[in-house]
Amino acid sequence: MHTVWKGAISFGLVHVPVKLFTATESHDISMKMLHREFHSPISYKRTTPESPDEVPWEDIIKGYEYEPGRYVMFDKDELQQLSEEASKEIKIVDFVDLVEIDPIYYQKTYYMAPGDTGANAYNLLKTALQESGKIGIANVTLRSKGSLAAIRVIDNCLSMVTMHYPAEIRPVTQVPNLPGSTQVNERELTMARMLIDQLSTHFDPTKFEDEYRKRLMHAISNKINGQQIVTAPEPQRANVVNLMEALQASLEQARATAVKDTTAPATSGRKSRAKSSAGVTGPK
Amino acid sequence: MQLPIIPMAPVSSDEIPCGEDWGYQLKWDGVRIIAYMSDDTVTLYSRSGLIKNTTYPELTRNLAALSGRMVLDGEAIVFDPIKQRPSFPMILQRERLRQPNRIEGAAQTQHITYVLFDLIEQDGEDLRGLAFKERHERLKLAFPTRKDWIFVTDLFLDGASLWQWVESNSWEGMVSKRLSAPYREGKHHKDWLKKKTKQQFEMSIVGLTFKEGQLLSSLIMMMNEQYAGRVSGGLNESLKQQIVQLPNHSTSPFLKLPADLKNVKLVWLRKPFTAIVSCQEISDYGLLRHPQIVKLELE
Repeated sequence: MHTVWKGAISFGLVHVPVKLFTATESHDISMKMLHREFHSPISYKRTTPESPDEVPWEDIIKGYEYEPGRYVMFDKDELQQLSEEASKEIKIVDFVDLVEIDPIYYQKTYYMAPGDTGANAYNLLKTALQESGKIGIANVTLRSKGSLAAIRVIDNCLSMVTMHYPAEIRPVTQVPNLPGSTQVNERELTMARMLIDQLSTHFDPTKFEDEYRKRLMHAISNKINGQQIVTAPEPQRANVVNLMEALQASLEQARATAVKDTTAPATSGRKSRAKSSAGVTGPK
Repeated sequence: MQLPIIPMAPVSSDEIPCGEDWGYQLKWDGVRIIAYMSDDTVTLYSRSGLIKNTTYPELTRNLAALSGRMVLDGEAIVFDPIKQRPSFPMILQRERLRQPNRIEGAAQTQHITYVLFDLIEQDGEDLRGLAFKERHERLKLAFPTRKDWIFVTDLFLDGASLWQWVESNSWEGMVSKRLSAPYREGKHHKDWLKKKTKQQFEMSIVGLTFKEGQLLSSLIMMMNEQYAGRVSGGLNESLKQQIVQLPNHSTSPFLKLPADLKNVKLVWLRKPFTAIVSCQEISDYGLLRHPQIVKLELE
């Protein structure tokens, strides 16, 4: 795993240097856009009405459109400077219980490893969290984006999940056609409860798989296999085996010559050994 | 047996040991894999004990189709049909893939061969205490014929001839093994000795780095679209003067600036040129260790 961020957790006077690693990965299958006839990939050109030729990267800056067609400009250095002003610190401000946080807040999970010389402080925070059963709520800036974060322990490893700020969560009142408090039929409710009871179990994520992905992978490998029959460059496979046979033969020939010269052990067994593949090549 | 184990690793030695108790094998330039085969599962372990089943799904499937309970030790390689030797950069491409669909795609076009050189356990019997020669013979009995995806590397008794073959075919090197030695984890032994040849690679020089002022300090190498490190060994003043005059531009050929080029004063070349570079080893990250320029192909 690659370190995606380096910094430190601070809570009170304790300072824990940590490295972050992405905890999850996407298994999406990406497809490329191709020309229907030529099967060549579609590419994009960076152009603008004022300069129909491709715009070189050095002529590209960034701008914020504050009203249609009007921009304030930023160059790379300015943006760089702004992000550097953000602190390299995960500052824990509160400790809360896990059940208090609604899952709607969660974004992305990172594993944390102790940074250089941080093992003791890391263990201290981890043990304290484990024993108290609490979760640390922190402020953090990752890749020039600030967010809330929850620090907790997963399988003996400190982890951090970034969270939305409350302002980023849309209120339920914006959902159209939500029924008000209408009457529910008591008999139907009993039925529904029974059904829930019957299907109640413990959460076992391993029994779920992305079925669409499996079907698509299967279709892809079928297609690749189909094409291979037409274009298969078979010789490559045999090459290493051929070369090994040649090497074995050439060394045995060299040995046979040497043996003849010194009229040492009988060479009669040599030929059969060259064919049989068991054991050591050469005298035993 | 507690898995993963630390694979027995050869120690470097310039000497080729002689005598009745020594055998010799090719050194295969690939990725060390220990394969655990039980009745119903196959687990591939890397040198550092990571599980590699997802990196080599076709090897996992092929091994699963075999019968037998074994722990195998060997090297996963990609054979370069043009150079007629294993290509470490080619297997490195596979090691770098993370997305399962990309890996499956690569498995269709790039053939991985699992070259075996040791049998650590068989039918629940720990063979590590046996002599290497005995383990090799048992391994040969288990895999009597060479197949394109799996075979046992030969054990030769004529080290000098094998070394000559290795040198004249530009292979990576040779491993000398003490025939009576047990299997020992790691490097705390003197039973497996490796001797390496100097290898040559064709590098694309894509940029230049500078010291204080305008002094050329090194050339930035790229191999198979990947950063391969920097080389300065073998540069002289007249070459340097020629090189600094090459036209440069501002676009990096790398998607992401390699970590060891950060905060380094550099320029990218408008037109990369080819350099033949020798080195003894490529690191797991694809960087050349102690590279030396053999030849520059400046027009």
